Amino acid sequence: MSENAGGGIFSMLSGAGPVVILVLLVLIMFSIISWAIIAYKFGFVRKSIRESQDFLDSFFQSPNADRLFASSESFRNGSLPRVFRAGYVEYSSMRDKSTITQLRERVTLAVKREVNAESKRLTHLVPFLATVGNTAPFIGLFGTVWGIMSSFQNIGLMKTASLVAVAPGISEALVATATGLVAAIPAVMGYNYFTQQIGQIERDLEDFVPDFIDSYLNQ
Amino acid sequence: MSTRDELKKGQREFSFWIGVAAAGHVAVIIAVVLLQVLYVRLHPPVKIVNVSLVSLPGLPGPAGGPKIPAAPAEVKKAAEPSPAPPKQAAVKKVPEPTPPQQKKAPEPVVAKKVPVPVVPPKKVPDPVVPKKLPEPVVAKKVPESVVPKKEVPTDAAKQRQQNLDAAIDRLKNKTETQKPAAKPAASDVSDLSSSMANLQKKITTQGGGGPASMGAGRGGGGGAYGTGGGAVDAYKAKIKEIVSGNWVTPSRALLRKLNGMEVIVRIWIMPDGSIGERKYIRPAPSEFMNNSVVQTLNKSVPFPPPPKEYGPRGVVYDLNFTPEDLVVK
Repeated sequence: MSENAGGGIFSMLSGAGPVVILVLLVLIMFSIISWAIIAYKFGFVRKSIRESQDFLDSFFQSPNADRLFASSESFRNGSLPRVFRAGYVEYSSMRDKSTITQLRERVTLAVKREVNAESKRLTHLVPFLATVGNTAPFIGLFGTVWGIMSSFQNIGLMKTASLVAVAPGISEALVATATGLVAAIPAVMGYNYFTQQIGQIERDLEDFVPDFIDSYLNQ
Repeated sequence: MSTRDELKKGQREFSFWIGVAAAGHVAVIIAVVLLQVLYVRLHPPVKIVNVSLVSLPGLPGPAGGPKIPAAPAEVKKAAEPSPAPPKQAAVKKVPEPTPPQQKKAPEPVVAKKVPVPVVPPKKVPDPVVPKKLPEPVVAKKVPESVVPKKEVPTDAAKQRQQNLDAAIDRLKNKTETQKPAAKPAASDVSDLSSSMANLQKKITTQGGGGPASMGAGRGGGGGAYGTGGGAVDAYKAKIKEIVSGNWVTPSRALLRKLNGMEVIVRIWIMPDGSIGERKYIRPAPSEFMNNSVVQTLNKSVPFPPPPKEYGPRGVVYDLNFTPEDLVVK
């Protein structure tokens, strides 16, 4: 018995029921996906912010749209350069065929469409983090409740309410709650970080879109 | 540049991160396992030895068990109650003088060695001489302890004497009605056997939770208890054998009173076999039981040196003295 006491979590789980094991597997899968999303999105958002900043620097240096378009080739992952490129492509295709008012409308429309697409691209997969953050503790709790139910059943079967009969079941059930929290905490932190960063990019897009349109039409 | 290419690129990148995250989780799980193994190696769990408290005479059969010398402390202990305890206490203490009694089961003994004279002789109407008893039964020991005397009777002693007298009279009646020499007092036996049965039932219903020392029965000659049950190593078994062999056997009446009590002592056996440190993790409410444990440990020292595998720091055991082992034959 004392040997088991030193065996830790995994010797404890050897006696867990199938439901608890299933819950644990689901939570571990959630955790893996959450971490993958966090790592993937972290690189994605960071790259977007950095390239947008670089593009803005060159935009302020020379507001010439043709030259900016040429330089935006090297910023393919930034949100601002992508929106600028979409607007510029629309402007180039339409500038000889329509009036200035129509041109402005078409370019504004194209830029707006690209802003939406960019917003979608940025927030892709992020809601999964919110889902994990919200549901993982409850899934873990479900495993715990189920484990404690079995544990109480064992008390009945063994006809003893001694700690020896109750404690292992409860402790192995609590592992499910612990795993749920382990999955949920980074997911919530990641979700908060990404929503804040993505919100910042979206505000930048709103701010600079009129400047971009002016830069096409004023050259 | 097409969005499809970007999508594929994004999926590839995400799959890569999924792999990395999975590998990270596996690494964390392995690290946790290794840390736990390392922790257990650095802090080995204390081994628990269940010491068989009692070597029941008679019960396994009429075999002449080895005589275990009575501890001097018992005598001291038994003499203690004389300073005016209240009536209740006196009644409770009555059985206590009996523990030093030896198990000399089947012999018809007239007056066994009872070193404790508690009662003045004059009050005893008739020193009851139990006839050939195959087993020393609790109730019979009481009169035996009465036979020798020599002590100044106090008020409390008088009260106790009265109680004793009443008990003796009852006993006498019983023994006389059940003449046959080999028969123990029926009510006593039934009483004892019912409490035994209760204990047995309690332990069997506990299933795996029972003491690890349950196992092979006591030999006819009165060897130590078998190691049975768990994976007890040889040294642990030896320690257990020594300690239980040195246990100063209390009377059954006392045993019944002690039923449910438990003493847990943690001892640290040094490489030379001496006890480096002893700590009472859980003392019993009965001083008598605690003293008996102390005496038992004192008699057991020194132990044989622990095997080298335990390292230079010796070995730590928790000795679990519990009267429930009484059931284990």
